[in-house]
Amino acid sequence: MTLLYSKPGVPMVVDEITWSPGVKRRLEDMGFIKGTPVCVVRSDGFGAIVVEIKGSKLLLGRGMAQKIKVKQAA
Amino acid sequence: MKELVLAGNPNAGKTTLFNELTGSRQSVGNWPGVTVEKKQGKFTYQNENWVVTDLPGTYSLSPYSMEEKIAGAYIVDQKPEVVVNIIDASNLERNLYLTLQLLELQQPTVIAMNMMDIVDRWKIELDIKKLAKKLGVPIVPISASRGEGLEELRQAVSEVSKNPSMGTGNPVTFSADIEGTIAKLMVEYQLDETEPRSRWQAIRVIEEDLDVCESLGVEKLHLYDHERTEMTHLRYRYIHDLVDRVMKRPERFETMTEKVDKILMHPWFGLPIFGFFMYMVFTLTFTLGGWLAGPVEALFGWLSVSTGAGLTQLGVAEWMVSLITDGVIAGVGGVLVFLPNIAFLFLALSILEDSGYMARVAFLMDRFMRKIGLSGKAFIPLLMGFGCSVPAVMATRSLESDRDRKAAMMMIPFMSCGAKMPIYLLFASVFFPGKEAVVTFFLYFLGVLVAVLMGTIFKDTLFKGSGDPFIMEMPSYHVPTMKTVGRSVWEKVEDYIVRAGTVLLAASVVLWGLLNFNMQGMSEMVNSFGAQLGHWIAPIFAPMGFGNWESSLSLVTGVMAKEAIVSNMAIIFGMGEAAGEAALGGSTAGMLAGIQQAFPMAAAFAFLIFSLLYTPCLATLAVIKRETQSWKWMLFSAGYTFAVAWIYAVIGYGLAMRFSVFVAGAVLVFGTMGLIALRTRNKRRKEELKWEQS
Repeated sequence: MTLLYSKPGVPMVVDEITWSPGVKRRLEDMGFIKGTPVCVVRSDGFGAIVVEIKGSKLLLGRGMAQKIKVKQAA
Repeated sequence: MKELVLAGNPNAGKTTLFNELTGSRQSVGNWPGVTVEKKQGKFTYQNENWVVTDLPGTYSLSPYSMEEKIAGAYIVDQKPEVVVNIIDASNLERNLYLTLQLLELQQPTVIAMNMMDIVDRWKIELDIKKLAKKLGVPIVPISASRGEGLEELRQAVSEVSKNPSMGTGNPVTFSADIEGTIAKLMVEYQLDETEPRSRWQAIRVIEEDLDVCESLGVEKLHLYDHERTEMTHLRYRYIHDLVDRVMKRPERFETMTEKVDKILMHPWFGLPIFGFFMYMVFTLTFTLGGWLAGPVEALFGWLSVSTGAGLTQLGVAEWMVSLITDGVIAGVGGVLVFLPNIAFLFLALSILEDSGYMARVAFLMDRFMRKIGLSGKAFIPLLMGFGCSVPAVMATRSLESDRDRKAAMMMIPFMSCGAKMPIYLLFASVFFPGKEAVVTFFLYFLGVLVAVLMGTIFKDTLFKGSGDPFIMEMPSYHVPTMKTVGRSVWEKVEDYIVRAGTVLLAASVVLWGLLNFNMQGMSEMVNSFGAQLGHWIAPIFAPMGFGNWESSLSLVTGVMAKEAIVSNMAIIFGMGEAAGEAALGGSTAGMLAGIQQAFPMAAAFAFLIFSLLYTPCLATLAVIKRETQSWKWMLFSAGYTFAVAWIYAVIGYGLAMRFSVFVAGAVLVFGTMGLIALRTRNKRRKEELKWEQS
């Protein structure tokens, strides 16, 4: 499952980033590392989504959110 | 002189702290070789003179963008006495990532812990002493917005500079694997172990900083992708454990920011609220600015009349009196009258920017920006275009891909800038009295629509492909401080005044000369060089209804600076026949009467549309050239905006002649909207398919 289609409010963890090394590094620096808890706060079905990670909120474009694979938090 | 370097995340309060530390002793330049703004300031503490260098706000020192590279390299090369890292205490985990990378540089560091008031309000317990001990650097709690803790910060900085070991810190020890790789690299590239920067250089090779790689002669890249991920991972794990130990958080609760966002980011009301804000910004700009404009205008009127009378009495030649009153005072004054309006516009924009609302706007606009192939982030430079195209073009640097930057740069000139507002106000007050705000709002709106339409066209022609990866932090809201907003408004106002005193002054004098001389010497205005020149170009503008030499000449000089259009009008019509006796001193009444005579209503309407859309000013073209490193894009920008403006103004004139100005305005707005809808309609389905496949 990708972050784009995760339900708002359901705690997830980052699994894998399937993007070019450059973007992957940027995401890693912002805290998107395998195993990190992440939660979608807002997802309207169009436009950017809002996620909470590492105690702050980030806007992610749909393309970006599509490339972040997540798993249900254990 | 000792040097302090200020580093921190965007939104951590860096600019505020910089302003508080240095007061008015600041200077702005560029980092050598790159177009990133470099700010420096000074302060004195107990007879020590300090220079403060403000590094670009970054989340990390990993080398992807110009900003991040500069930040790391500057500290290592410059070896400042002290690095001050400002941290937003309410967002500790993210902020500490940069801190850890700073500690890897092994330079004396002091942490300024900002926003402790929010931490207190959230009932979070933060053990600063313990954190300082763990990190091995002094931490000073401050409140940048209230100016608290600055004395303590200066003292800590001064102490660390005298005793650097106090602030060298404890950098993270990575896993055995990675430490092994670092040691191996240090041997391989013969890095001196005793030199603190060596370890950093080895880390940089793993992180693939191309500059460091080149200087060391590293040939093979992508060798350490795994190690790099691991390092990031370890840093974050270290931070996680650290925060767990020094911070006690209460149960999750709804913060003020979240409450406010429920309204401002509401799925239905968010956009209308943003629209309402923008409308308020413009209405306030006109009403409040308009009140202040009256006295300024009166001042220049009085100045002109009394200077004219005084000089005549002193026996100064008549032409000289005319140059000073009709040329200099009318030209420069005609533009300075609008200074209050412009100051209000910049005030509003800077409050929107500093409060944290811009990130919300980026969110709200993302779905629309996607249709033109850009992300919500690209909307921010466009919005800044309402102030001035020059900083807006520079603000496109926040977009990472070249394609997005260029697309935004080509759209920005249609966002009506502050310098064009005087034209609207002047014409609206003559032709649409009482409806100034509506007319102006219409023009701004039309400009936005044209920008969007061009975006939809570019998306399939010049700038194909997918957009920027869109990722952006949503900061907590905070009330902007008077000092920061005041400083940013003052910078713009100062710039406006300087332009009035230099570019426009020169233009006014040249124009006065053109209007008073021809080959035979001094002449009547209708036979002057200026009139001849204007007549010459007028045919281009004839299809728009204003093929008179006065407006042609004004539009040509308007490329120099848009304010010049109004100052030219003030000079030409101030001296013109219509002004009659009142002409002495380029009186406003004379100018208004002159404009009314020279333009039929429909032509005035077309003139406004043309002024809104045509070729950007020289300063904007120059900055487009600098940012794109290409003459081609600069010339393209100059040419295509002219063509678009011509087409719109001709259509607008035709409709306004045949029907009415109202109909013409409505057709232009709805026609543009229709074209946008047509261009985006069929795309949506295709795009959805594309997403599903990827």
